[in-house]
Amino acid sequence: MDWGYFLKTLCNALSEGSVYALIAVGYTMVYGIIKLINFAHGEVYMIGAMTSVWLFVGHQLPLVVVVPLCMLICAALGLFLDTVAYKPLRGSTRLAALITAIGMSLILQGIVQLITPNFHALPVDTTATVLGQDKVEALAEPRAGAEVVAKLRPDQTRPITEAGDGAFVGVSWRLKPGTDPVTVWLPREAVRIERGLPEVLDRSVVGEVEFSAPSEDDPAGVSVFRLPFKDVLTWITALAMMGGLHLLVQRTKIGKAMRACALDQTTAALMGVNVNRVIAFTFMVGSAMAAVAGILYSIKVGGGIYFRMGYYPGVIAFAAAVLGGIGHLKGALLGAMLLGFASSFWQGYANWGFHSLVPSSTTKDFSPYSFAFCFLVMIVVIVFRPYGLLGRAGADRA
Amino acid sequence: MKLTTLLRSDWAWLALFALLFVLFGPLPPAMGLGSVVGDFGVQVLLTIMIYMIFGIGLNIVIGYTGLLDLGYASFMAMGAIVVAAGLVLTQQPPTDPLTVPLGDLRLTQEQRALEANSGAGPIVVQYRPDWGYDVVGGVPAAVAALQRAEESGEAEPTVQVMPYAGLVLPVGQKIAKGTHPFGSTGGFLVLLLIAGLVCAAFGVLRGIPTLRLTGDYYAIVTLGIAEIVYITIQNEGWLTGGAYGIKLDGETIPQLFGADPSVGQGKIWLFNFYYLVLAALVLAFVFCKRLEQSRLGRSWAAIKADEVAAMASGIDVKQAKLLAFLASGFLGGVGGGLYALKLTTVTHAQAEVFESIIVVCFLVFGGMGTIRGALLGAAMLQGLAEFLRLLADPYWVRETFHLAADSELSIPNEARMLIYGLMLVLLMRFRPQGLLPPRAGSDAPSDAEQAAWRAADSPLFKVGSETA
Amino acid sequence: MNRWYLAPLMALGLTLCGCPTPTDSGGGGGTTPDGGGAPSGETLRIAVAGPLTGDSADIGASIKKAAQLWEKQTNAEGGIGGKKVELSIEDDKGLPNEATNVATKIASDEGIALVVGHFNSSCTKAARATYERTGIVEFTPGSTNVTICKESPWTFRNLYHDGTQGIFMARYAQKALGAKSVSLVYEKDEYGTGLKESVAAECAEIGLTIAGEAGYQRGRLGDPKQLATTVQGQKPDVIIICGLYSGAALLTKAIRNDLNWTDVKIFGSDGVMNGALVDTAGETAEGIMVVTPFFFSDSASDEAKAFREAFRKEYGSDPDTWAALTYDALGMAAKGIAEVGADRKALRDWLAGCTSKDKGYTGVTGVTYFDENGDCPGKPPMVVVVNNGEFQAADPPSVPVD
Repeated sequence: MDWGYFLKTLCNALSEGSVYALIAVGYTMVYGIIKLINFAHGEVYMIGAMTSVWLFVGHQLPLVVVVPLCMLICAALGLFLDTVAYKPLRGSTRLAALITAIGMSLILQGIVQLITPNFHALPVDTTATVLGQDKVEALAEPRAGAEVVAKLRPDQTRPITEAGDGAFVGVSWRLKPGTDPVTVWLPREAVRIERGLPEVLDRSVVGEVEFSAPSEDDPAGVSVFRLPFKDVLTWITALAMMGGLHLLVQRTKIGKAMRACALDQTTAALMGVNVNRVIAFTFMVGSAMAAVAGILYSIKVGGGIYFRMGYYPGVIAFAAAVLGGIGHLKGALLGAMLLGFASSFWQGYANWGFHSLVPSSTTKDFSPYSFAFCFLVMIVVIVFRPYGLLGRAGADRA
Repeated sequence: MKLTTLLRSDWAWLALFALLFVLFGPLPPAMGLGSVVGDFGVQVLLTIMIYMIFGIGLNIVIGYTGLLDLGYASFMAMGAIVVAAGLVLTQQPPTDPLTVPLGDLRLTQEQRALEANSGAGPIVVQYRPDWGYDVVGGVPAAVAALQRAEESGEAEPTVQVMPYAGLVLPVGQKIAKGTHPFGSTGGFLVLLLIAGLVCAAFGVLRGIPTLRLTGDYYAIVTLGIAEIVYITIQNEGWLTGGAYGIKLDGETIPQLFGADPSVGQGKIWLFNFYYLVLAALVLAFVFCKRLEQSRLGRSWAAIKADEVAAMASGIDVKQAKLLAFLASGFLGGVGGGLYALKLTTVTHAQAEVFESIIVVCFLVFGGMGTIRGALLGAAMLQGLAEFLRLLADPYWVRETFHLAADSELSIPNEARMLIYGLMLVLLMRFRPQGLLPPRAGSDAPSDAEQAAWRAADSPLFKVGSETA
Repeated sequence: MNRWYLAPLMALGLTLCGCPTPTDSGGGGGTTPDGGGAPSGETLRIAVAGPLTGDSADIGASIKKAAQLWEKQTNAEGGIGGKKVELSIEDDKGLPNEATNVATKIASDEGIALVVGHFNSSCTKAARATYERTGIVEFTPGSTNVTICKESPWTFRNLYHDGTQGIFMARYAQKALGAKSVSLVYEKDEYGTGLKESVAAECAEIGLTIAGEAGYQRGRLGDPKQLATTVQGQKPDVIIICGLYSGAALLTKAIRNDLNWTDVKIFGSDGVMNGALVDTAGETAEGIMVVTPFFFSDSASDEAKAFREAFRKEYGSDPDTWAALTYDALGMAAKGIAEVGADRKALRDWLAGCTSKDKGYTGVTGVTYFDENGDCPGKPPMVVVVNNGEFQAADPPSVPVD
């Protein structure tokens, strides 16, 4: 047994589940109150990731500013969705609302595509682009008038190792692939610096743990386990957001109003709850959570941010919400984690399992079935517990 | 008859659409087989007709029984695959040996290590268009042929091989010219029936575990199953062609009413196919109309109104639901089978969740629970999608609307889905019940009708008066 | 009584409006007998088809940019033989069923001389039958699936196919990279799967062990880190990626950064060749090797440099391989039209007649000429490596295949 491999798969499962959980929360809260499958929720997640790129890369804002801004923008988007698309349909059939949600999803995707059809990424490295001149004077040492180490062309983009003392910036540069980078010092005004994600995110919090993983070819084989800080950050953030949300729903006045609306809107309205405001608030909170999920995904994966990215995680997260018992925050977390585990462990172990159980199947690749396995888990749970893991009968008929 | 009454009549809408399809469809051979709307128009009309069949089929589950099915694309795709695979799999390889370039034979390392024996023939091969011929029999003879060619230094050596005649072929990969049992009209109709039955069976199979589910739980489970079907189709290449899909060509497309597309009768074939689809549409319509008005149809209406009450009033809910899945699956399979011939390439992309959602949109757009809604929704939304394609071409816009020669006015292709979404949102905003909703408001059953129902003592009436 | 019932009637009208095809607007033209005239007045029309929306929309956007740049440049230089060129840019969403609709639309529009497209192999194949039946050239600047050109006399391409590429990749991995065992990571579409099978077949032939395979789908990648973990569990020397840059970049990042797995070599197919690879993967992209038919190097031809400059000036970004190939395909089509006119059949015959280097078309990506199938033998695959964020010729750039 290769424990390093197992631990890696376990961590991946937790990270994937965390992101799904944050998306699923939005589904489950909105569903709990207005019984709407908000198909556009995946698009809110996508826009969350997109805005984070726009702010972080385009405007060079630090992450601590990017996150709340994205949450605000997405909350506003949620409010907009509710006001423009769903509120006018409160009285009509749920199917009409569902089709509207599908329509909004197409519209949001379409708008983002018109703005940018390309893939985006949150860069890992801080990079410098040399501006303007054909030839820049570069120094081997800061301040010293040493010889020019390299000639840089205007379009070259290089990672930066350290900043100089203001007048010069150190730009590291590999002369050949695989060799150690050399550092040259360039005048600050000659380069445009684009910040990457903080380096600490990629640092392993447990160091490099070696597990022995003997194989036939290599009896002394080891597998190295490392746990990047960004994974831990994903878990902590997801847990903290879910905890905060739980407190919000259970302890505050607006939370009480949300619960009241979920139970019975008419009665809640009679008791003086402004139902429309509560619904709008629910949309905003759910969307803000989706924004966090989008940013966490962007940080974790570092790329793959484009206008279609929301669709599939949206579907999976919705499955997670249903699996956990729709309308339940804890259920969403539980369902999302279950699906994260299903997907990661299938990816990691399906081929091994099938190939050792059925020797004739060794040429077949089973790993693409990971999402099918997710849905299978969901279906089996729903068939045996029709209202989800934590749901109760009648809960969706309020 | 008043216009509003006509608008509420499914038959009137069918007649209208059938008339339009005949008017704009391909002209009979005597009139030259052309069409007022050109080839592209005919293809659009074909797509619309096939989607109308899908709409009618899905309407049984969504409109009549009131269950939101988000996995209808599985049926559409499975029907297409059954037909396409049926046509390709049964294609008979020629019995004569073929001469192929020796370099196209692909031998594995182990096969190469075998001892050469030129007497071990014949060399049996299986054509893999993506890299040549797999040798499945007579390997020593193939090794001998390779050695011989190496020694003689021939420029472009060839070798005689026999095509593999087993039934287990990599689907989607043409083996050779030949005939197949489903290549005639009758054979194709049988295959279409098989497709329908396979999908009906799948509908029932899928229905059994989901019988207890209602509302959105049913929706998400059907979506999940559809996604599993999608991934399976994508990965089980031996049956479905996998990522390649199954391709039909001149040799595999069946003759229809004597027209064979591979010998230059493509236009006649298209004419025949067009009217076959139209006939299928009319049949599907009549089938559903009869079902709607039958005892079963009323059971469905009762289930839709209130499942518990329906059960209490003696309706076998399980049976009624399973029959709904069966009928719906059957129509999906038949429609999918026809779609396979229209598309000629059947891939996993047809089983996408989005395809299911599109058909749901047709239904809601046209008016939930009515066949006329399914017809109108399919015609409008599918027509809109193709119309936007035309509008994306500045040349077409300029020529059609007689604009100035340097006009670049057009709607960019990238905005097509956006406009599609906008249409959905706007319609739902201003007419949430769809364009042609079922009886409501002033259109409620008249006193006479209610009296007739009462007299008929149907289970529906006992619970139907308070459809909450 | 109610105004609402006007809505379906209007909608019906709209639907029917959607049906007439552009044929009637072409004036029933056809071509003039002397072959030199344009079918409709003073404009020559060429269709470009690609995935402008859907999962490959980024590539569609690149193709569209190149096509529009070419149109602008050509018209600024006075068009082809004094006639203005107009492009019809069509969207197939990267889906085969959409591609057949697009193909019918293009083929039934008699004013269109030739089609440059489609991009996805599955679309090119799905549309092929329609083009062949109608008799219009389908000139693809991106589909590398083996059988595309072989099975239709009307289909051409201006790059190599996956048979060549797959054999080359397996041989290069073994000879130049010294691989003992490889993992094949592939995208589950016609391109990725076909290329993967081609590589796998060649690996079996040359005795290169396949440590494992892992497929993923564009748009449903899930967690690239888990994919990387799975591949690491297979313990390969070299990872061969048969897919597009978007997935490859994320996988590379996960392998190098998250797993800190530095001693494995990453070798991508031509779909990985894109500046966005470096933008996304950053420094982790260093050392990735990629197969390509051509690249913009210092020693590139003047045409390539001019194209890159023009593209940068127009859009502020670098062109990718597909942009260059689209640009070349259009250029070659224009050369054909200038020589034999806009007649569809004449154009096919002209293209089919470009059978050697001298008769071929010299463009941005090198010389395009065709063998008897319509495949392009003139651009052998070569390997480039990412160094300092730029693609440079690898050492060695190529290995003998036979």
